[in-house]
Amino acid sequence: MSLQLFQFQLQEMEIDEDQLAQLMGYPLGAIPDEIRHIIRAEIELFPTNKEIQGGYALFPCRMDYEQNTIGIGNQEFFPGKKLMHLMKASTQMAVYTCTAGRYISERARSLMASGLLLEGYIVDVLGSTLVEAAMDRIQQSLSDEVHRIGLSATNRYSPGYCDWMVVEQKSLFALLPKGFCGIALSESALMEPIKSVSGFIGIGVGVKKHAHTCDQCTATQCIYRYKKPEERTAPSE
Amino acid sequence: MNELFSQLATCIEFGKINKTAPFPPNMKDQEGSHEITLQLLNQGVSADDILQKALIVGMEKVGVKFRENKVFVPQVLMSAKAMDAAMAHLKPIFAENNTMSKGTFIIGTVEGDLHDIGKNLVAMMVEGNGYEVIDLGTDVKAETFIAAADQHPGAVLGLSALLTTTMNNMEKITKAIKEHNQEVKICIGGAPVNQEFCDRIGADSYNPDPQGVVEFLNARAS
Repeated sequence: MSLQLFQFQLQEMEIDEDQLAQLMGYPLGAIPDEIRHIIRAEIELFPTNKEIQGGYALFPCRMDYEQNTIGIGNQEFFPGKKLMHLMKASTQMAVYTCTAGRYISERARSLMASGLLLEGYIVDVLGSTLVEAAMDRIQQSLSDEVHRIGLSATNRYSPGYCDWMVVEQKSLFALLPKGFCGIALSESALMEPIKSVSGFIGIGVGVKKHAHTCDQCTATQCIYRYKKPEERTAPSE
Repeated sequence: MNELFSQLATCIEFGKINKTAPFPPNMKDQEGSHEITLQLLNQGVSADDILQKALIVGMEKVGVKFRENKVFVPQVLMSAKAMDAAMAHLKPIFAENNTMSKGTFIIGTVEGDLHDIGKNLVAMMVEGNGYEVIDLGTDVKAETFIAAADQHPGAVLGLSALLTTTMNNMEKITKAIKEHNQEVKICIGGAPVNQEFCDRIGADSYNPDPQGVVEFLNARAS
């Protein structure tokens, strides 16, 4: 197993306020000043230590397209037919996890608990943005590394996507060192800190990375769901 | 008087809290829900009239616009803030007069699930529409829902879940509540939930947005 760990400060992450606002539903460029002000104030408060961390471990994998299973070591995964197709031709799997850290999850929780729902919501979305931005960097690093040896990498796919049950996070975390990146799993397979992600990136000679795979997914309310340019226009009231 | 009701409803709809609040920019320096509610009370308008003729009107408009994707979560939360500013003046009066609310709604995110934004949105919209809301928080077990329902006969229960795994707990909890008391009405909601799932587990109402829950409660209350 080859293990890579990355750590980031928020200040390194180049948070795009417009992108953040889009995750809240706003059309491009339509972020209200009040929201922008809260985002900036919360970023100012963020600790300067390397709270954001993530990483991956590389494993050989066994793809069974009849049973739609992926075998890694002594663990077996059932990601469903669609994800099997999207990870087709993988010969190795990067098993990843990443967290925006304990601070932001606790901050969102405490703001909400004290009745500051708007501020809590914005911090919650900021946490989601941070963890995805960190994973973008980690994925890029992985892609660069595998390209150097003539391989390609797929998109990243998590338990909860398509037909892949979240409960399989238990098997996924069993492949990683205990406490890797400071993430723990609850009895119901939820990650703690809550602003964390985990999943697979397929690696192989003929694997494909898609611009987006949202049409394969049934999570129609997902904030990351791809929108066509005409769907991103300002709404009329 | 009607003009003030209309102004107050607009403050709720657009999230204008008080005169000094900078949001929304097009209402800068105008009075907000805090000041207008006080004006109405000083003119002898009843707390109930303020709630029914202004606050609920504003919240309903926000709920419908949210459903139609014309406004987004932050704007709904701004409206909630404006609503809170008005309710801060009305709640003591309701408490003093022992005024009945339209009903009681008990809400919680089901066992195993820690997500609470959707639950909070529903709670806030339901409260803004004149119901007493009892928020049990996140990671709520069946026995906690059952105990709360026993304490508040006639209350409607709201179960929220974000994840496919915790959907299973929603089924388990719904069945436990119904087994304990078939009469308790249960609303369910959350990203992975749909009408088919609602029918299968024996819940009474599925709504993809908070306004749907309000409409379900209003239909029962009328």
